[in-house]
Amino acid sequence: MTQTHKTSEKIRELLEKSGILLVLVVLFAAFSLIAGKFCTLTNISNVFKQVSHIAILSIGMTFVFLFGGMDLSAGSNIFLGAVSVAAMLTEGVPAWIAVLAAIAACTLMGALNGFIIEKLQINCVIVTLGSQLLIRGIALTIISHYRQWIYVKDPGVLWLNTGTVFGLPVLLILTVILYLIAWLILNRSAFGRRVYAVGGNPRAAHLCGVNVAVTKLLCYLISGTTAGIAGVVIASRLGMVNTNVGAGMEFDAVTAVVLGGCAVKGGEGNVLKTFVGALIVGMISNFMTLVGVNEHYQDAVLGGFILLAAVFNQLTLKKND
Amino acid sequence: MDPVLEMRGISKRFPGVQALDHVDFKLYSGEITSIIGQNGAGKSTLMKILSGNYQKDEGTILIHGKEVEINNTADAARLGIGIVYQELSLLNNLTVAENIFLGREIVNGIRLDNKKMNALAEQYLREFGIENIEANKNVEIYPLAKQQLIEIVKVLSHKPDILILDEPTAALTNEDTERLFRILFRLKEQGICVVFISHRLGEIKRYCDSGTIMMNGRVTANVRMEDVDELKIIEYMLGDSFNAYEKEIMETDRNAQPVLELRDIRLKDRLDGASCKIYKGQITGFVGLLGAGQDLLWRVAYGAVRADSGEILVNGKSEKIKNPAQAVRCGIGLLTENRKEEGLFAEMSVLDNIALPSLRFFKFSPFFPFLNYRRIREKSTAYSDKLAVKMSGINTKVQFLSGGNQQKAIVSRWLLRNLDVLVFIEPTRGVDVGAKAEIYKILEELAGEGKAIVVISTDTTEILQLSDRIFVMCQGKVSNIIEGKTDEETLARLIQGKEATV
Amino acid sequence: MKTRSKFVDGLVYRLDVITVLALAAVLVVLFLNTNPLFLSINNIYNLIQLNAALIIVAVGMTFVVMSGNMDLSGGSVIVLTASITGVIFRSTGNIWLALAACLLTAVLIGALNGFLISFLNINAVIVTLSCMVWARGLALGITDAKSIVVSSPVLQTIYTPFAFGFINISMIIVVLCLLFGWFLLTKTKFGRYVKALGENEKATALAGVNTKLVKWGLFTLAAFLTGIASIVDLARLGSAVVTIGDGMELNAIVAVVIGGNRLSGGKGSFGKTIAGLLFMCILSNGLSTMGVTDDKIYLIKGGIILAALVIQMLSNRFRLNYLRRRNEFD
Repeated sequence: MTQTHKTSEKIRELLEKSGILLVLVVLFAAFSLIAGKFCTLTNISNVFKQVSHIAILSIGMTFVFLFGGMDLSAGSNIFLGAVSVAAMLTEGVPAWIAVLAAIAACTLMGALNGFIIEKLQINCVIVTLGSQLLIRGIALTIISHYRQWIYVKDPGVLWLNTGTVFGLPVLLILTVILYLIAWLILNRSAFGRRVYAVGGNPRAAHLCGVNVAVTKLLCYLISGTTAGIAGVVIASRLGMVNTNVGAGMEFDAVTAVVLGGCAVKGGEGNVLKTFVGALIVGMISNFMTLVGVNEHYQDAVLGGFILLAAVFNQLTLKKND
Repeated sequence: MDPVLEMRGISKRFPGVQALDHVDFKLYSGEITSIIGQNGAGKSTLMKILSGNYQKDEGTILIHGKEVEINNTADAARLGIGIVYQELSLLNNLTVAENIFLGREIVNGIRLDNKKMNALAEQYLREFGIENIEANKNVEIYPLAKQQLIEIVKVLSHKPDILILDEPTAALTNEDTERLFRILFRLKEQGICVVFISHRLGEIKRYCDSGTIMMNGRVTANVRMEDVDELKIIEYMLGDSFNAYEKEIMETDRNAQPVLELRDIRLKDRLDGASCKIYKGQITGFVGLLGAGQDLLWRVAYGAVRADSGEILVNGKSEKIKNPAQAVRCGIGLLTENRKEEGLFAEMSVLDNIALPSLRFFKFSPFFPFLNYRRIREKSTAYSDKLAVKMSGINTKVQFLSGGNQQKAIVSRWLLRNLDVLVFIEPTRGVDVGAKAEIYKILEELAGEGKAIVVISTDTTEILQLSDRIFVMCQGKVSNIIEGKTDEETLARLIQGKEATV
Repeated sequence: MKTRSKFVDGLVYRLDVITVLALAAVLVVLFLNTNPLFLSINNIYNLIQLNAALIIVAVGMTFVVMSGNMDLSGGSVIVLTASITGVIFRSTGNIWLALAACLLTAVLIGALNGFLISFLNINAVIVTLSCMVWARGLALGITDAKSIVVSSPVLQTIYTPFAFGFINISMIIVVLCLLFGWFLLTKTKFGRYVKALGENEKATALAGVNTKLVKWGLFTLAAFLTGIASIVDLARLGSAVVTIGDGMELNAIVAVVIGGNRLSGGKGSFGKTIAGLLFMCILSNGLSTMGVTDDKIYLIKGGIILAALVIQMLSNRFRLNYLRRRNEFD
């Protein structure tokens, strides 16, 4: 290896390792300079709260991306989670049962995706597009019994949003804990390492004795679980659930994951970087709202941003001969 | 007579290997010339330089006495060089004619002139005496041998002056081979130079006019086929290495329980009732021509390929091995020749690459199923140190290691998993000379420690140097079992299917 | 005996199309239960009219799927181009200018997507997914999420019968698009390269085909057809509503795939696309005439699509195994 080669290799590695943090810092500085209100404690705490459900959803999306899959039903699944928890609370089900049952319902949907995709071998994009309709339909059927609008009044669930522990918002703590667990699973458990192996080289993983289909199926299941948790979180944050909840959120999660540098072909990525990616998504949305950008244009900007991130990832990618 | 093509002083270096060292090569019009040599002798590299897939480091190429530069495959095509690769490049969803004309379709306005292309394709096929192939049928309905002929017709339709065939007969039956050579003879009469690469000396001797014999990146001889016999060719191929080693042969204890036994493994057209017994503490070699089934047999034993019938016994007990996971549980590990596609996780660390199949033994406890990475690191480092894997640290991505060290990392993987039987397909492919010796040493040490080692190779030198027992395979069957000493010449003849018994 | 086995072979050979037609027949029976008039001439006429845009988008999608790719941007491209048409028509009153802008926008979006996918080598799903979001955002932004009425005689003629009392320009456009797509796919170099690309990109490039250019071209072509679909839908609705093109990408992909075109590329035909379209048209039209609420439509449609995909997959697995045993291929 020549000297110049080594230098460029180092720069590439540096960009790969910390490029996303750099983007976060630069954006933060720029936004603070442009909008005075941006860099206040209340607003920063707001950003964390606003981004919590996307951040949690992105955990599951990271699992799916790591082995080279895609889950477009995540947004609908959030909706299902939020609707089921709100409906059960309205019916007087104890809060903890309602929360667990909602998460279980979403996990089941994730497992269904995984089963159709991996056991029946049908393309993940088309299956999750179909299940997106199905899951949204289930949730809409539930919510239609409540005139399309359910209030969440349970103090326990609402505490998730309003409460603080040691002066820190509960949502932030919850998100961080979930990320730490996800990091532990991905980096310190046999299953997590298998996910990376399957994403990096499915054939070699099979020859190493890894059950590839089951590993992938479990990732879809986890994607369902995180969607359920995110659904509970959003129900708590909004204090109500209507038919707009969850629409397009799978895309925000995909953006966070791609920003975090996950390779679309699988095998590369770090769940903690996904968190940074989610924060960037949240910051951009928050900033655009602060400076008064129309919400539709906000979507357009975020849509463009993922392209930039994808191009950036591609350019920093090492040319493999 | 002046040569049509002349390559002078061609050198090519790959990291760690001098693949070609000042090679001279000449082709004359109207001749079938063969390039002969063991795997790694440099035949393919030389031809890939000629076809523009590789660039030479040194040397000149002259065509009709004029110096030419070949920088890419398009240059080669323009100079009239056509190559038929080992792997077919036909598209299964297109017809024979569509494949032949892919990239240079005949059009009538903007409309494809299918009628004309079909007619022309039929004409080409007839021209080369190929029957029973219809130009308007999809290529995938034809068996491999016919696809090979289609591929050749596709290359010939470019009207090349020089035609290179890289092991075209590996998948062909004798009959098909004869048909192929009838075509080649016709081309020869038309004044086309044919370069023929094969491992089958019989064919070469029978059909070729001249041969260039290579060893370790050098030309050892240029011969006229009428002047030499197969024995002489083998001598040139092997050079001074002929009978150069002395290995302590480990006697087989007939009363011992074989650690692994394969019985009558059959797979349609490819394995024809192959059986073998593998014992602990021995290195067992499997050798044969390309496609003789030696590697496939072991892929079956490992559960990577499903056989039609057959039985696998592990320590005397019949086991159903349907996938690699079960094979690993039975104590069998496989290292294939395709390290990149089938062995390595390039983006993962050396540590992960070593530990992946063994992870479940490193959980803190069943109730806290996270991994004790300190112990994993200790154990993995112990094995990678034992095998002397050269790397800047165990967290280096495995893709930054050299070929030999990657191979050692994969060996460490199976050592950590503590398997009884380790199967190596072409263990030293893509590995430089120094590392080769190291890997040989490792294999012998492992056998000494009581593991059963299986080595599958097309390289007779390697097999002879390593093996305590040698299974020679021929057309999907074990044709000979050699116990005790033998020499390279005998082995080479057995592989060619000569002298059924020794 | 011999002829019979040949007959069975032929049936199995066409099992993919037979499956989707059978599924469509099942749907018809189901819908006849709730709506006895489902098979009336009037309703069938409606079926074609309502789904003109879908059929046109599916033509482009056939090319994309044939090349082994996927395009999720269809619906959003329709809403953006329709909105641009509406905005320009509102401010200038010139319908031809507005329609030209519509097609130009579609082509530009397709060219951009194609460029990112083929020349920068970025995953097609990511590119078209982001296009789906930014194009919709832009469309809602420029219209402020309000419908724009486009009442132009030019557009109105598209759905006005001019012959035999029922043939109108929209039908002509649909037929022309289908013929154009069929011709391009089966009779030209471009179509052949698209097929080759879907089978094996590397081997195609080795044969001297400029695969990147072909890939770029086919995404541009698909977007252009989507632009035409946008005009047809705009003419049907009379205004650029915000829900125009909703779910178009899913409907088009499902139509192409359920008809039996191989999603990984290389194999398929327009006949299969048309069979798949028949299924999708019956499904969406049947659901809208069933008189069920929105939530049920999502549920039933999602369920039926997933079930149909699974059935098609299983029947195709059987078909391929059968053909392999007979040493034949499709």
